[in-house]
Amino acid sequence: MLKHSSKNGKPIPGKTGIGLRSPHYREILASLPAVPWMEVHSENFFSFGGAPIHYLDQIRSHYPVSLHGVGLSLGSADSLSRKHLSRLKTLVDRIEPCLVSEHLSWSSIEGCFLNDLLPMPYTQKSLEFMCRRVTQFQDFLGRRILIENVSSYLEYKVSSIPEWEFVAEVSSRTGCGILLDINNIYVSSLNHGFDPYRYLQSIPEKGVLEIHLAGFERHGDFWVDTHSRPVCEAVWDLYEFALRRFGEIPTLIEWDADIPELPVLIDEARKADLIAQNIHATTS
Amino acid sequence: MQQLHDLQCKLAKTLLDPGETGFEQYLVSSSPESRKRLDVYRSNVFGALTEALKAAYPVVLKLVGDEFFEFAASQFIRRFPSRSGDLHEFGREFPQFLAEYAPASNLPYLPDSGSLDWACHEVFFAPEPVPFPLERLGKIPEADFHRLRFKLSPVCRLLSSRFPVHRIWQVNQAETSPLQEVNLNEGGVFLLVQRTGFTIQLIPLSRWDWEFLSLLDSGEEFGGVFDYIRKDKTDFERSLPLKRFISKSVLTDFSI
Repeated sequence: MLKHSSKNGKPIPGKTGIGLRSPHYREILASLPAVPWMEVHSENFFSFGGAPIHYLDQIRSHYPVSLHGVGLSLGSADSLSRKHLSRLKTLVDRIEPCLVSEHLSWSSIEGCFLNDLLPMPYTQKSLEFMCRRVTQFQDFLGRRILIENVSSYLEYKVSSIPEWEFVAEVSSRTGCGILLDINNIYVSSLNHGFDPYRYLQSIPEKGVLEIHLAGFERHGDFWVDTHSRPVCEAVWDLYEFALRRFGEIPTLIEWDADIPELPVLIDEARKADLIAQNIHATTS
Repeated sequence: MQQLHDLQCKLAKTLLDPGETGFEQYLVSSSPESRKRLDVYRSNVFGALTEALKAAYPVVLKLVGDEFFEFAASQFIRRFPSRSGDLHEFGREFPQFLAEYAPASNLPYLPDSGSLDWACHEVFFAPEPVPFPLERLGKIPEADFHRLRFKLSPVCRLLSSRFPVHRIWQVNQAETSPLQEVNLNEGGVFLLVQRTGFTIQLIPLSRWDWEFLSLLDSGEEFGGVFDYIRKDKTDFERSLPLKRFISKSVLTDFSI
């Protein structure tokens, strides 16, 4: 059975944490705010030197830390990069994260990286391919990973499986957990015109191990997942629905552009916990 | 996965080249709408890579301004696409690109300023050096010294320029007043970039010390390096520079 968390890393609580970003490193270490857990982008620490890893080493001694990858390009027809995998493994061994996650997407082909999370075509063949990839990744790390649904702005004609089925199948066939990004579901639902509640209802109740929340922006005719704003009302509603379906799931507020002061970020996380508390109060 | 490979190649090509058309036929939406959808990705791709380049080249950015930098970046991204899922590795060839970039030809010091930015970027993230193995060095017989090869610390870089790029770097730091001026005629510099703790220092060296370190860094044996420098600099000390650079943690390892 693959492990849910590492032996020595702090376990992750079913509460809302924040994405740890460099402008907040010092303030967090100086004030040690009451934040239940934090998540970092794995690649930001791949060189294992200087200030970034120094701060992460300290922060992990105070908080459970999750490693969230953005650059493995899991769904690329290229082979997985051995260099990338080994660096991640070294980081995992050093940080002992409570969770390790990556995206259900691709970002490179023939060695050329676009460094963006591009959607997979959703077909039987690509489903089997993605399952082999997730298994290879889990085997390499020797632990269970989480895969995240991405926001998307295009749909391929060749796709024959709804995204929610694809996500659910990858999880059930490989045993990996699902990192459900509710903002991504909402953004994609606006861009492609599907019902986001139907998406949530199609995800197996036991498969979700983490939830992401973030803000987006409208750019012309489309809604773009910019991580630059507070979480919108419609996403809070979906979040409440998700918690009722999936239970108390570790949740994360992601904010990557126009990063606000730390208290604003922490308030956003508390908003999420308040929703969870209200659900708990009304159901118990 | 030939089908997946082909689809991914076509989309990557479409996103990197705005003139590339035809991918719309693979998408569900109508052609004009598909073009707009592809533009969302194009703007994400170029946006993220440009931001990564700005972060690695802060002095170049300050010298040329946002608009010039972004235009140059868009050309650079197409010519030297990213080769890694780690964005910190993107942009190594930017100084080389700037040297051949016609719109920047009136700023001859720009490529070397870029090289200095990249050296600082690399040492910022470089792994901490291990202390020099002095005890092991002490066991090497004097007669074998000429065969030693020394290693430059991972937090050090060497760079030379015919322009005073260290002065340009200093007056273009975020906290420096923009009114300071650099006299381009003050001459070039032989520079050691070294990170100590989390602080990056630019240390001007004598030409000979710089040559000495550069040759050692290229893997040459100590004896050969010393003889080479002694040809031009007859009073170059045999062991003093070595001791100095070991004690300042510039050289952090050796092999024989």
